[in-house]
Amino acid sequence: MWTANVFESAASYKDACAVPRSGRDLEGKSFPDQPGSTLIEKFWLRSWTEETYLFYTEVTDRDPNLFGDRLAYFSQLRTFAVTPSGEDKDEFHFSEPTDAYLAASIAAPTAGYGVSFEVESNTAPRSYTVRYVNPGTPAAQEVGGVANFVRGERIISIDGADFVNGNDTDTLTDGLFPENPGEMHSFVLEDGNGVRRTVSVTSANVTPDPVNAVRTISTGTGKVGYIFFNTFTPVTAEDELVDAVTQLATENVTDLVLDLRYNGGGLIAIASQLAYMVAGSGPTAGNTFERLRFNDAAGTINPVTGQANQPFPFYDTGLGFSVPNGQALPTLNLGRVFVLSTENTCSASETVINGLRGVDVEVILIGDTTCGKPFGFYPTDNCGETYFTIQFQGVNDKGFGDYTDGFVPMNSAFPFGVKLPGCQVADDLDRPIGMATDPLLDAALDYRALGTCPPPTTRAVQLSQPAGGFSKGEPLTQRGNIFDTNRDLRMPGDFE
Amino acid sequence: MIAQALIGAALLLSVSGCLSASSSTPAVIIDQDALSEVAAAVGEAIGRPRFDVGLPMPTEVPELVVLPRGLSPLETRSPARPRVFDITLDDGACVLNERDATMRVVVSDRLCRPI
Repeated sequence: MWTANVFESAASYKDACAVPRSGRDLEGKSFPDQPGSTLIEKFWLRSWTEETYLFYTEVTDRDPNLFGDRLAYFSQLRTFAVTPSGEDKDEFHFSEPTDAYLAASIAAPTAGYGVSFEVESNTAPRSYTVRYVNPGTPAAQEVGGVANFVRGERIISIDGADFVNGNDTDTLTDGLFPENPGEMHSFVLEDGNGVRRTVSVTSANVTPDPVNAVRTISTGTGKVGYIFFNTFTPVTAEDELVDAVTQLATENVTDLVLDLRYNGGGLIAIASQLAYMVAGSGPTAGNTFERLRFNDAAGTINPVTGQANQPFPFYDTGLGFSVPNGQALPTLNLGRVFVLSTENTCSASETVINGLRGVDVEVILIGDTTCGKPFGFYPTDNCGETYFTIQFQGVNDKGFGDYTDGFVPMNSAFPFGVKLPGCQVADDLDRPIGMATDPLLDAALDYRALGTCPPPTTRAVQLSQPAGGFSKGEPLTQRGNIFDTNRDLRMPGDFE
Repeated sequence: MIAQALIGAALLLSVSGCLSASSSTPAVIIDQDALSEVAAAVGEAIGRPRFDVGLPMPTEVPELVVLPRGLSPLETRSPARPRVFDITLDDGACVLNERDATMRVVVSDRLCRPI
């Protein structure tokens, strides 16, 4: 029975399900479900929110009996406050079936091409533009000296079906999201000059490639390292970063451009290692990379795990993901870093920025405002649904973590967010990434040399919008799990 | 794997902390088959019957690194960290003590050897 603002322990409602599962989950763990009801599930959601939701004091306590569906009830168990810029304070409140969550979490390599698209519109008129390809994948294979997919090219058709305005979504989905390796599909692509070409690409098992490129750029004032780093997620991120930093340290770079423009985040632990490798032990020793701030009722305890709330240090050794636990990490010992950013620079990427600023390492931001996600959660299953609700805010060694409107280059006209030294520069998909003509890298090198910025530009003047604007229609979705196509609910899809 | 987990559960002799530390000797897992059994026991103890073992290899170094589950695409700021168990031979039993934590898993001494 519901009594306003009186909460039983969430544990007293846990795993009491309207439809109990039997057997074991994908990890081999027995389901804990017991016979219960939808109402009990809703009471669990209510108490779990009260105990762990970061903004629990901003949730209106509503009678679960008034909601027929557990997901409808969950959807209103959040704050509806807005940030200073008017965005929702909580944009990260969602759930998905637990079997889909686990399948995505423990997925083996999946069929694909190894290409990342910028999704300007997922409904007709659709617009997908190639951001980058991963080395060694079908997308990067060259025919006649040209890769199958080239940055800046837009998809015009797939297997003869009109991609932009067509209705044959089955054919488009089959081609864009191959079910198996070894499938050949035909794409018509158009570059920024309107030149079209047809490529036939065979799918393969691909995994995300964290470090896409590492370069050393010689300048008149020393060598500058460049790392194009796209995800903190797979275990290989650890050794790929170590290899990259080792290479740059060997080449004695005196500055670093860290390209996080498409990096939507991942593991805080690897973000900590990256920050350490940039700064070295001088500013980081004994300091906190990130502390998790839970709701004010939790005290010194992590209310999700019940354990002591242990901060993340600047890890100075491998953690065992793909570098042996305890193995010393290489360092660049830099007092500043240039970060290339867009609105897709998110979450754990922002943690690197915030963590370094917390120990007075200068972060110079070149590009666009970052996504503004200082929050995280512990995905939690109950009765077959895995719930994501904001449970902590990451704060740095100075206790700062209020950047819900993002980190913003100093000369940006955007009046909100946290201003950092640097330049507002639009990403240009028609320019090769990480090369001299890349406007973000070029601006970083100019700022380093001269301390000046080019006139601010935004994506609106760089990207040609499809004629007639965007209209609603049937969106393309990846088979099985729409969330596979979105690394973040606020971000365009990132398909690989 | 499930069968391994059940075997491992049978090998899970104790989670008590009453064994003497005075005769504790660093140890490694004897081989890959033994590692499967040890991993099953640890998995059962931590509630994750299937997990990936991290580096270094516990057949060479006296520690077992339990990697966290992979992330779903929506987990962009995950606090997941590996868990490290130090491996010792302790009064005739092979013991895995979680570093900086209290979990203790005991398996048959035939699965470990001193280094």
